Amino acid sequence: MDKHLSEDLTVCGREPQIKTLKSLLRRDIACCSNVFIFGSPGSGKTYTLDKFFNHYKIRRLLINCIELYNSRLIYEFIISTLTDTEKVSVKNENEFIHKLQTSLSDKEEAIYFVFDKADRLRSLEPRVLLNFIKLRELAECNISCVFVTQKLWQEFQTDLGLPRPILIRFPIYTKFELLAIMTEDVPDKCSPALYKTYCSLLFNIFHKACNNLMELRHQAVLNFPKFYQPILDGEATENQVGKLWKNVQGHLKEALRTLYLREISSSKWQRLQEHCLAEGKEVKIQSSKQSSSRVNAELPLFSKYLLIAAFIASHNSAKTDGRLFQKKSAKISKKRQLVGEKKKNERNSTWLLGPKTFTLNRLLDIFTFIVEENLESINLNTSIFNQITSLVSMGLLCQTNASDCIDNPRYKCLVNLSFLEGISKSIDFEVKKYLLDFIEIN
Amino acid sequence: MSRRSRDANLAEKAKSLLLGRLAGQIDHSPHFLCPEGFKHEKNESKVKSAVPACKRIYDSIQKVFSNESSSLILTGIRGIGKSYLIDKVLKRLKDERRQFRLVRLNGCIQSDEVVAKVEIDRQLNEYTNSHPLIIILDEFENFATDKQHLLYNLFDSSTSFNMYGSAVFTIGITTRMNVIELLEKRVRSRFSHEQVHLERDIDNKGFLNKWNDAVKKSFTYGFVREYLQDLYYQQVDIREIVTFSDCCLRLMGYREFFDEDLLREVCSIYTLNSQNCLLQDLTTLELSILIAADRIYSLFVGEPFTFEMVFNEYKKFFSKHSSLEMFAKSVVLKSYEKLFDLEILTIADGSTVNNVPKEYHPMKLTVPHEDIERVVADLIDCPTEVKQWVNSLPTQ
Repeated sequence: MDKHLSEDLTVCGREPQIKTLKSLLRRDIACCSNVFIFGSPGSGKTYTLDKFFNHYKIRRLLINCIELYNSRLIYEFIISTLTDTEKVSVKNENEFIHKLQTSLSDKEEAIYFVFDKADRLRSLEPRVLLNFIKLRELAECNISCVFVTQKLWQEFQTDLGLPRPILIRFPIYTKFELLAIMTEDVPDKCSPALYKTYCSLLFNIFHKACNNLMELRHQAVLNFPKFYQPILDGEATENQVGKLWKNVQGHLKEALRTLYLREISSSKWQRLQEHCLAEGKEVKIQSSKQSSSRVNAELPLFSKYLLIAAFIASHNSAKTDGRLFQKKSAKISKKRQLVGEKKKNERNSTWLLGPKTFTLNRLLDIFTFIVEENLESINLNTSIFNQITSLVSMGLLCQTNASDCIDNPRYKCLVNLSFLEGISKSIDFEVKKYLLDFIEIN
Repeated sequence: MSRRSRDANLAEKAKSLLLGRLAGQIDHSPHFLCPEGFKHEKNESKVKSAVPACKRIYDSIQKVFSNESSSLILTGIRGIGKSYLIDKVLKRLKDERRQFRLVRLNGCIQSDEVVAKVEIDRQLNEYTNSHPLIIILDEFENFATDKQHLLYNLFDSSTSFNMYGSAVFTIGITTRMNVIELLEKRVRSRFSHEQVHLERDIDNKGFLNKWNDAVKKSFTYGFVREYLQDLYYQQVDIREIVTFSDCCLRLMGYREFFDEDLLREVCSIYTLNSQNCLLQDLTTLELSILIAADRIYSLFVGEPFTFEMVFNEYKKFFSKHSSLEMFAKSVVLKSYEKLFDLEILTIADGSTVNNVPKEYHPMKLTVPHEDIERVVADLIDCPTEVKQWVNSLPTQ
């Protein structure tokens, strides 16, 4: 017997799962039913399986259901990998079964088809999933399938009535396990004990929002230099954890705002961090501003006004337009009336339900009003229409009726408030003055 | 070699043997399901309608040997042993040395008529004679789509005789009871209108008698009984019993017999309530979002909600409790998207999300309030305020 095989595989925190897998997935006779592995993202499903199959030298074929997005691709991939040829054409299930039977020459040893992101199989024809589940019966080979997914088995059930596989759950890592794994990333210069303390502090801040191992590791590595800086500068020693902690606490809270977002790349974040460290400032990111300033530079002035007009049209009801866009003198006395209207409609507010559609005419009316109030009188010409079209193609507006409807097209504004505030600030325009829900009683 | 390791080797060998046998049986349901030679023995028949069904199919097939084409449809739920029944009849015919040609198709594999015809050709090429032909169409409903040329040709006796040079007996196997309604008029009129239905009616005591003493004992454990009872009430797939036994054998390790620990382990795998697993793995933030969504969903019964509504509810609660940490909107949105990814939230029925910003996608909740309540109550590191929040009634 192979010496190596008798040694047990250990993967931190996943011992019970490995034990079950080891008994179920044997090398000689493939498992009678299929195995369904599920768990939250970052619970080590793929990693553990990978280790498992490699360690026990069990034959398997890894099928990524995102890469292989239709049934034909899956069939061709399986056959070409099994026969070790590059181009295989498999037109249908019939051909697949026959080719599978001929290509599995070594019928003695079990082979496992591992479907990663198996939930994608549901979007294919319903018979595909059924066929893979019953593959062993259909092909009469020593085969079994392993499905790996984040979804529950119930979500896979169809009206075809699928036989239930053996479910194996991968729960999220506990704090203890997470820390043990994260400590493996310890940088050369730092002692493992200190790094573990650092990870534990980081975990305490992040765990309420995030239990994904990958993200936590990423955040730990990213923010470590800031934590370690006082030691490099000679201001503190490794034993003064309290001092180190105080130094990094605010910084980590700031990093929490960018959790999962990756709004700026890691290298950019690192540069920003180094820059701030050099000047002795705190790192601050204003996430919404960043993205709006990017678009800002690329929009012409009238496009900005158009976008603002569209936003107002989407979020105010057309009924109130008449009163809102009167000349200044009459406006103040009408405010009270408007606020009453606002209260009535709180439940149906566009802020909760999403922007409403508006007609082109209404957009142009509001547009001329706000431009004339802030700049000078203008003539509407075709360039304005061109700008509307380009706003639509940029995805800031969308046309809700058919695009060939020239008569009176309807639009909807797709940007959110913080984005719009960025834009209106750049042209010194106070947008809240025109939004019904922000008008205060004086 | 020490005695102990030789015993272990023998045990391993025995295990392989049993597993191999189970593996051979998965494609044809286990032998205890259907009587040998259709004789109704007291302890053997579990599917009561199996014996008369066998007889009817057998009698019906006789026509083909007197050169008369005919057809039959066999219905029954998945896993009841339809294919197995057919195999039994075929085996009996073989034992009686009747001469026939056999073609087997599966509607899931030979998924369109062209492929099916090619496959029929391929299988017929294996024969050099022109004996009566028996065609078995598994997943029959998949053949009853589109033009149904194939079925027309098979059912129409004169055409089929010309095509295959002998009488043809067609057996359709399907899980759909109403499959005949799917047939086109011209096809239906040529169908022989013989439908055999398999019903399941398990006699529990007889089932238990088949197992040997060690296995018998395992049925005295309450949790095994409970599991089997649930299975009997809810599912009717004999396959699950086979895979259950398979799983028991695999997890046995070096045990001599099935014992309580083993059965408990296997039962826990099989009765795993996965619905709660997803919720248990959520972070506090994700749970808070879920609770907020649940409150809105139950307040406006069944009406779809948007992210902005959920965030509004979340903000209202967290600004009241300053001891709790409130997260930035963008981070909340990311967690909300994760819930969507896990299909705890889904797009509300009948609504489109084209041209709608993602904050305003109309959503609905797929988990009931009771599940959320139970999971939150069981969590250890969930703040007390959040725990109370679940139980407080939502108000406008």
